[in-house]
Amino acid sequence: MGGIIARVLDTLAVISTVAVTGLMMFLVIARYVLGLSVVGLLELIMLAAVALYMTGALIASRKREHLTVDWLAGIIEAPGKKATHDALIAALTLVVTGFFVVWAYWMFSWGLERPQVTPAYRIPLIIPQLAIGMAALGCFCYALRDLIDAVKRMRAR
Amino acid sequence: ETTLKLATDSGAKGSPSGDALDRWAALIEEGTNGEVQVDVFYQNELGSQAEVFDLLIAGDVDMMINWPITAYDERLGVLFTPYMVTSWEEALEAYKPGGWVNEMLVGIYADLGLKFFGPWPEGFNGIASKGKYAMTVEEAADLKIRVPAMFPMAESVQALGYQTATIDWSEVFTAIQTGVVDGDGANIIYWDYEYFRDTLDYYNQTKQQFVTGIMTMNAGSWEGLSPEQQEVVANAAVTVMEEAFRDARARDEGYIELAKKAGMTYLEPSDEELRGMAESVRAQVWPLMEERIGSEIMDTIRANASKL
Amino acid sequence: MLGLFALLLLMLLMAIGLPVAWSFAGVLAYLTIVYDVNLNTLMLQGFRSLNSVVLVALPLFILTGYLMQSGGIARRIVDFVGRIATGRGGMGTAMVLASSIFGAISGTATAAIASIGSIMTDPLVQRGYPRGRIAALLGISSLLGILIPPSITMILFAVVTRQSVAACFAATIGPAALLIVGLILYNRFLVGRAFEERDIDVGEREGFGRVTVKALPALSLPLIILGGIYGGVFTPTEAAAVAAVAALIVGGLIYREYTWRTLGRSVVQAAETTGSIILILLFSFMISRIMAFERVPQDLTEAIQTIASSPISALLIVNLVLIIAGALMDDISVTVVVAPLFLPVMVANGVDPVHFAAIVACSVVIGANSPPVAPTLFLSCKICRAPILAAVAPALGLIFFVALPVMLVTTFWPALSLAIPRAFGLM
Ligand code: NA
Ligand code: NA
Repeated sequence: MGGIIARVLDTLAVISTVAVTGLMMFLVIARYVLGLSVVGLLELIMLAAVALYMTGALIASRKREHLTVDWLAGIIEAPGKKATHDALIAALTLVVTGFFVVWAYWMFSWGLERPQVTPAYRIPLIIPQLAIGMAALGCFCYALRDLIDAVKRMRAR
Repeated sequence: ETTLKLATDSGAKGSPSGDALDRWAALIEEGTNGEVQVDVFYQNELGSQAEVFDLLIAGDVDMMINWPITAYDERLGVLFTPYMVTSWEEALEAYKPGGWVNEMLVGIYADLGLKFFGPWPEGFNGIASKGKYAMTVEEAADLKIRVPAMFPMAESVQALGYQTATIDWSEVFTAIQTGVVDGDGANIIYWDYEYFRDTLDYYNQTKQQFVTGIMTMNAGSWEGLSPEQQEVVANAAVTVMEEAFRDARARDEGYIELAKKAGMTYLEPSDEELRGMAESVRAQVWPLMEERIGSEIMDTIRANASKL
Repeated sequence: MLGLFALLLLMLLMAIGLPVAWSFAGVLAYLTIVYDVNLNTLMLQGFRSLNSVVLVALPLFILTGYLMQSGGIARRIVDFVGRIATGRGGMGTAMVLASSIFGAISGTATAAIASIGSIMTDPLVQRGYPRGRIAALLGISSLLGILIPPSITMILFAVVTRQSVAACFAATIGPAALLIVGLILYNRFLVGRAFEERDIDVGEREGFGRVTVKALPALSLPLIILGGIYGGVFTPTEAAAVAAVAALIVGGLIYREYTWRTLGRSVVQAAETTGSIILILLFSFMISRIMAFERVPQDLTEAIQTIASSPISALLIVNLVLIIAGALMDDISVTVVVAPLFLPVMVANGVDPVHFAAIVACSVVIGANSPPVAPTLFLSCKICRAPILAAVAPALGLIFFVALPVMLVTTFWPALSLAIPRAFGLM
C-alpha cells in the first residue's frame, strides 16, 4: 500500500513538473519564435504548478523530510526518549494538520457557495483547490502514521 | 460605534483613487459624527486584486472602489465591452445613476451579494508602446502588446490588429524594458505614465474601453448599518462619484500633458479612424461576448451603444 | 503584544523540533483563534498567494539545481575553476568561484551545497582544510546563488513586496561581487594562520584546454539565462523554465550523464524540496494577511520611527532586527514575513525598495548560517560530514569579518545595489 502511494506520488510529481516546464517553455517559444499569443496558457501552468506544490508537500511528509530545526533531536540520543520526542512532535503535527484540514474544508464549502472560474478557459477554481485539500488530508494521515509508529516504539520499551 | 474596512485594489495612498478612498471615509465619519469609523486599505495592503475582491464578497472588507474581475460572475465582463461608448459625454450619460449601464450593473452586483453605489470613472484606455507605434491594422501586426488576462481585453487588442501577450502585472515593466513585449495595451494614460513613463515612447488613444472603478459594499455590511448610517454612506458615495465625474476628464487631460512633458508622444486617431476601429472590433468581439455573457445583455448593449 | 507572543510561539515550536511548515501552521491556528478570523476566506487567501505566476520560478529553479547536479554540470564547473584558482588558498577560492557560477544558473543554495560540497570536500580535506571550515565556507558561498541572479529569495521578496523581479535581481550583483572578493581574501588570510594548506600530488591530469572545452557548455548556461532575461527574450519567471530545459539539454545531450533513473530521482527530489518550502510559504502568506489586516506593519513603522532619532539609526535597527530574525528563523520566513514588515520603515527613511531587496538578501546570507536556526550551515555540515559544533566558530568568523561588513556597506552605500538596476533602466 505504502509502496503504491509512493509510486503514485512520484509519478504525479514527474507529470506536473514536465507540464509546468513544458508549458512555460512553449509560452516562450510561441511568443518569441512563432509570434503566437495563447490566451490562457498561464492558467494551465498554474494548474500544474499547484498540483506540483502539493504533491511535493505530500512527498516531503511521506519521507519525513520537511525542513526541521533538529538540534533538540540531535541532543536526544536514548531510544526511549527519542520515541517520546517523536511522539510529541507527531501529536503536535496531527493537531496542526487537523487545523489545515479544517481550513481547507472551509475553502471548499465557500467555493461551492460562491463558485469561481479562471478567465480564459473557465476552469473551476475548485479543481486546483482540490490539490490543497488532498495535501491537507494526506499530511494529516502521515502525521497519524508517525504518531502510531512512535507510540509503538515507546511501548516496545 | 461601528468600524468599516474600505479598500481598493488599484491606487496607492496619494493616487487619485487613494484620495477618493480618503474622501469617502472622511465624508462617512463626518456625516455620522464619528459613529461610523472607516479603516482605509490602499493598493496591495490586503493582497492582489482577486484577493481583495474575495474579502469584499465574504464581508471581511466592507466597502471597495474596485476594478472588477470576472472570476465570480462573467457578466461583469460587460464593463470591458469594447467601443460601448466612444465619448466622455456618452460615458457620463450611460454610467451615471439612471443611465443604462448603471441600471444593468445594479442587478448584477445584487446577485453577487454586493450593493452597487456607482462608478468611479477613470477614462478611455489606449495602447502605450516603446520604439514604434501603429495607426493601422497592418502596422499593428508588428507590435506585441501586453494585455491583462481578462476577457475580452486580449480579444479587443487583437481585433485592432496587434499581437498580444499575457504577462503578470509585476513583470510588465521589465518585459517592456527588455523588449519581451513592445507595450502595454489596456490602461488609461495615468497608469502608463505613473509606472512606465521611463520606458514608453507612445500613447495611442485607441479608446477601446471606458475604464471605471466601481464603488460598492458588501450587502451584509450594508444591512448591518442603521437607516440613517446607510443614507450617509450612500450619499457620501454619490458625492465622491459626482466629484469623480467632474474631475476625471480634467485629470486625464492633465496626465496627457504630463506624459508629453515626460517625452511621450500622444497620438489621437481621427474620428474617421476611430469609427473604422470601432466597427471592426465590434464585429469581431461582440459575437464572442454573446457566447459568454448571453444575448440579453448584448441586446441591451446593441440597443444603447454609441451610434458610429 | 499578541504579535510578540506569536513570534515566541513560532520559535518555541521550531525549537522543539516541529517542522518549520507546521510551526507556522500552529502560529496561524493561534492567530485565527485570537483574532476570530473568517475561515471562509482564510485558506482561499493562501491559495491565491500560491496561485501566482511569478512563484512558478521557485520549483523550476530548484529543479535546475538538481539537474545540474545529476547531469555532471556542477562537476565540469568545479574542474574548471579548480584549474584557474591556484596559489595560496586556491582550493578555497575554487569553492567560492564554483558556487558563484553555479549560482548564476540556479536560484537556490540547497543544490549548490549538495553538488559542490560532495565534489569538493575530499580534495579540500586532503589539502589540510578542517571539515568545519569547509562546511562554513560552503554554507556562505552557496548563498552567493541568492545574491547572483537568478535568485529565489529575490523572487519571493519581489512577489511579497510587489517590486520588479529583474530590478531586485540586478540589485544584488554589486553586493555579490563584494562578498566573493571578501570570502576569497579572508580564506587566503586564514591559510597558514588558522590551518596549514598542504600541496598534494594530483598525479596525471587532463590538460587545461580539455578541461576548459568540457566546461564551456556549462559556463554558457549563465549567459543564456541572463542574456535571455536582459535581452528581452523571456521574463525572469520564464527564465526558470529555460534554465531547467537548458540544463537538461547540456547534461543529457552533451555530457550524456543522465539515466532515466537519476533523472527521475532528481525530479522527485526537486518536487520534495519545493513542497517543503511551499507549505512554509503558504502558511506565512496567511499569517501576513492577518497581520496586514490588523495593521501590524503600520504600527511597527510608527514604533521604530519613535525610537529612532535619525534615518541612520532606523536603518541600523532594521539591520539588527533582520540579523536577529535570521539567527532565530529560517531564511524563507525572514524574506516573506519579517522583511516586508519593515519595508514601510525603510521607505519612510528614504531607502528605495530595490535597495532594501539587496539589504534583505545580505541578511539572508548571514541568517541562513547563524545558529541556532541555520538550515544552510547544517546542510553543509551534513554534506561535508563535519560536526555542527566544529563549523559554528568558523561560520561566525566568516559572518563577522565578511558577510556583516558586506551588509553594512550595502545598507549605507546605496549605489552598490542601485547602480546596476539603474544602468539597465530597470528602475
Ligand atoms: Na542565482
Ligand atoms: Na539563522
